[in-house]
Amino acid sequence: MAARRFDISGMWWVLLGLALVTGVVVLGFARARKRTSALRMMATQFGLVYSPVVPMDVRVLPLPLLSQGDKQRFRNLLQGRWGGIDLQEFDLAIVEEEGRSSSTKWYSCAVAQVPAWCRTISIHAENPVARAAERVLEHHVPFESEQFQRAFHVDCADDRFATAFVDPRMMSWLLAHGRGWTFEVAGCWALCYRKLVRPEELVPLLGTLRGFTDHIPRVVSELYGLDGAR
Amino acid sequence: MWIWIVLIAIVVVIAIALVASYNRFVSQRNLIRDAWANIDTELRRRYDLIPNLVETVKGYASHETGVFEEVARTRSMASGATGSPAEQAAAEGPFVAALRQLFAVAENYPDLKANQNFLALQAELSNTEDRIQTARRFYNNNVMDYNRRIQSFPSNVIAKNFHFTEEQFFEIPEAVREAGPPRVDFSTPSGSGTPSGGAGTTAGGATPPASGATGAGAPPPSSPGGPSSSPPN
Repeated sequence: MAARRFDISGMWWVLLGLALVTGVVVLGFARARKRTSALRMMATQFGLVYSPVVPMDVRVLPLPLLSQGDKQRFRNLLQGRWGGIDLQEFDLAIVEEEGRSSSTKWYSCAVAQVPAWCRTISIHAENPVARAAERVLEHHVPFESEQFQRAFHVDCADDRFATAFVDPRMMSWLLAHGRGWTFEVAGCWALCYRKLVRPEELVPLLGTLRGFTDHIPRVVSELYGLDGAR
Repeated sequence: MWIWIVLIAIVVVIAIALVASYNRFVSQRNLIRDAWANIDTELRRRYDLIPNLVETVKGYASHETGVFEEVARTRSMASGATGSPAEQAAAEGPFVAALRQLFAVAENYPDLKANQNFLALQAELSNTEDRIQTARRFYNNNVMDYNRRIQSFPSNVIAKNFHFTEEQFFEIPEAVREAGPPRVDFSTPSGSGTPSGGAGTTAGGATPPASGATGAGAPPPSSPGGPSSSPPN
């Protein structure tokens, strides 16, 4: 009798587990569908084209974020002309695998071409502890604005390029509008991203990308060319 | 025994830190020298453009001999300056002032302002000024970083013992900075147009803000190595 009661109880647990898994799957599916339909609506509203699949030519852009992690998953592409520039916006998952477990981080990314051939440069929020350590131990790219150096960290193998790229006007714009975003530039591509945002928050992402590309100094193309020939 | 091992480990760590700090001073000093050479290259590039510019203006305003002579004299002084950044900057002041006069003359000749050769030279000069500005910022930023290490502990101990001394910033004189860069306006056909933005030249002034860009308009950040600063004592 006791064994039978145990069996029934065990079966209930199995059923509960199945229901839970089904619920999570259905909820995830519903959320993905909701995001997809919101993005489709956004695309229509802003004259962009929606595609659930991100083509290979975007996936292989030379931007460091796109090759981070052990695996990358791309989806929900919006592309077209917005605010006077041709751009592409998509969701990107960076998957890190450690043994049998893995972690996934989702980002909202926007990329556009820039009128210069750039070295690889990354501009992101500064970490005060890392900054203190770097000042003592490592090399860093010096900038004239202490305020900028406290707020942002610039990674670039070519200091001269970093100085040309982040001029006082760019610094001023980043301090006013770039906080909370990460920027990467490589070749003739610029990327702006942050953790996955809701569809209605995509306009600030696109606007920030446009502002960033607008502020790339003219002298960068003068010094480094337009096509990587220099 | 353990005490000795710990002491030796501490000494080794300190020795490594000293060597790293010394090597960083050396590489910073070499970078500053390289950056100064780069400024010099860009300045020469500008000096080389001036004779053609003067010849083009002469074709339309041959009687403005005083201006041409002043440009030639100050150019010769500036290009002949081979001393320190401070000396070079001092020689740049009169040269930029003379260039400003030259562009003021150009303002009065609408035909000259439409001359393709003059326009091309003006564009080239503007590009060169951007390059000088970038080279100057790179130099001053590295000087600022180097001088900061010379002044701060513990790197100042190395600097003092190995005679690493502070480097000079490359700054344009106050008078030139206040007067602003020489500019010419090609947007109006008349010769009495107000000088305005566009392709102005500057001996190292702040980059003029461009219009129409998202979020533009905030003032540039204060610049310890830039035009509104002075070198540390």
